[in-house]
Amino acid sequence: MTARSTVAITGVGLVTPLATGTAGTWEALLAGRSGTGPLTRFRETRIPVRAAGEVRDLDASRFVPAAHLRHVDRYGLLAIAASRLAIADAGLDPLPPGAAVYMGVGLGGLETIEAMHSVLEERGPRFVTPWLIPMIIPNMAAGWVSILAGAGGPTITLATACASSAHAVGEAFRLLRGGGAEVALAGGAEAAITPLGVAGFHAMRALSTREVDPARASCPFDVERDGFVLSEGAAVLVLESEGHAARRSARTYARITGYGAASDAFDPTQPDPSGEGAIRAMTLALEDASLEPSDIGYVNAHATSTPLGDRVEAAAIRRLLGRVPVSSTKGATGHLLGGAGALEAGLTALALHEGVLPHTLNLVRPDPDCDLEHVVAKPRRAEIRAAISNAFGFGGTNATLVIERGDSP
Amino acid sequence: MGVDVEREIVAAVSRVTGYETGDIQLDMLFIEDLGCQSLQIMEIVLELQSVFGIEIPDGDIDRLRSVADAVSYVKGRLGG
Repeated sequence: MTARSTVAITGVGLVTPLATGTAGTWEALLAGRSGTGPLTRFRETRIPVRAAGEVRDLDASRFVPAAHLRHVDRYGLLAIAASRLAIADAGLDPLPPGAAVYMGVGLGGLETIEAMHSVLEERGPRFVTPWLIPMIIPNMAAGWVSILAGAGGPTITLATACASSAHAVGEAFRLLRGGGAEVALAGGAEAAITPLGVAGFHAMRALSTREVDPARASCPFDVERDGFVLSEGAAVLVLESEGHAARRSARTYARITGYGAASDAFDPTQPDPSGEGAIRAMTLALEDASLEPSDIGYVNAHATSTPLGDRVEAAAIRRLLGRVPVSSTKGATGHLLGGAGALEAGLTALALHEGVLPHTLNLVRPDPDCDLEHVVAKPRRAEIRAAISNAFGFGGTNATLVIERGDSP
Repeated sequence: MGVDVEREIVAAVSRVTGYETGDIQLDMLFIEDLGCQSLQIMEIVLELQSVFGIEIPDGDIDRLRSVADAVSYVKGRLGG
């Protein structure tokens, strides 16, 4: 049997609460710095949520033509920035004209929706911007990325809540593996730190409200965890067919070799306590990569710091993979929702490339119900061959990516 | 009157198009010279309505082809 072709990750563009930039994000993560802090993007004292992961150093004018700066919602600005960083990182400008753009977005232009709803109520419909619809539709991040990069292949947006950009990366991987394109920009973005966004997640009791330093509020797998910290940001990966990457001797961080997608078919927001959907996604991804559970040397967990979600994922990982180093980088980044899956796939690729497993920040007292081989306190040096990155979303949707070292085909 | 119509309009066109105010000439056409596309024309209309407190009926929009058109239109509306 011949091995199936794989897909090279040749560029990583990260715009996160840790830093605007891939190297800055990675260094901050390994240094144990937190990207979360006091929520400052708006004031709404009636919501007892104090922590958020805000992107503080974004200069959108570096990435977006001046004429269009005010025509793009914040989530789109973040996506564009990440895409430009990814393309520069890959040294692939201009992109081939048939390049694909696959983006994952959970909500879309929430900030613009809220602002324009106020305009409608207070001033009337004739003051609503003609850019309202182009600013809020969830596929406009992908649209702008395609327009500014000259990417004329398929431009597709996937909305699977917190798994959106993991599915985007996975589906782009399938497109490239199947020969549908040679290059893809795959990632996701979110900017939902708005009054309505925070009120909505808080109404579900999904967010951390405990009285601690907001830099420590996100603590996946810890006994004290009480909900996730809402973050914003974007991550875009440059994916290339093996042939395309080889022809231009591209630096390859890592390769995507497997993708699994499966559903809980259980509940709109709660994970199935049996973890069957998560296990199925991981199993499918391993089969896709022709790997055994024992081949996996690191798991970048979805674990968002919610009581139930972390426990269910921990049990699923333990059942399928046994003892394997696990961390959730959300301890440092908070939860980027639609941006999370691609961010974590990118961080997993960097972990393989650098031979360093990032630790779970703020994991001090591991919950006995999350009994795993946690990477805690500091990063762990480990030359591993293969890793998986999980992402799960509302609607009971699960995605797993298998990522292998770039130099071991 | 206190409002400098010309300056306010150039500022509004600058906000919409991203051009510096110093680069915007009165004889410039919105589409051909300033690269406006249809939504930006609508955005300029919205700005004029906002800044000058007037309502611009849809039927008048086609008359606003240049910066000078906008200036004379707004002056006419404010004066009338």
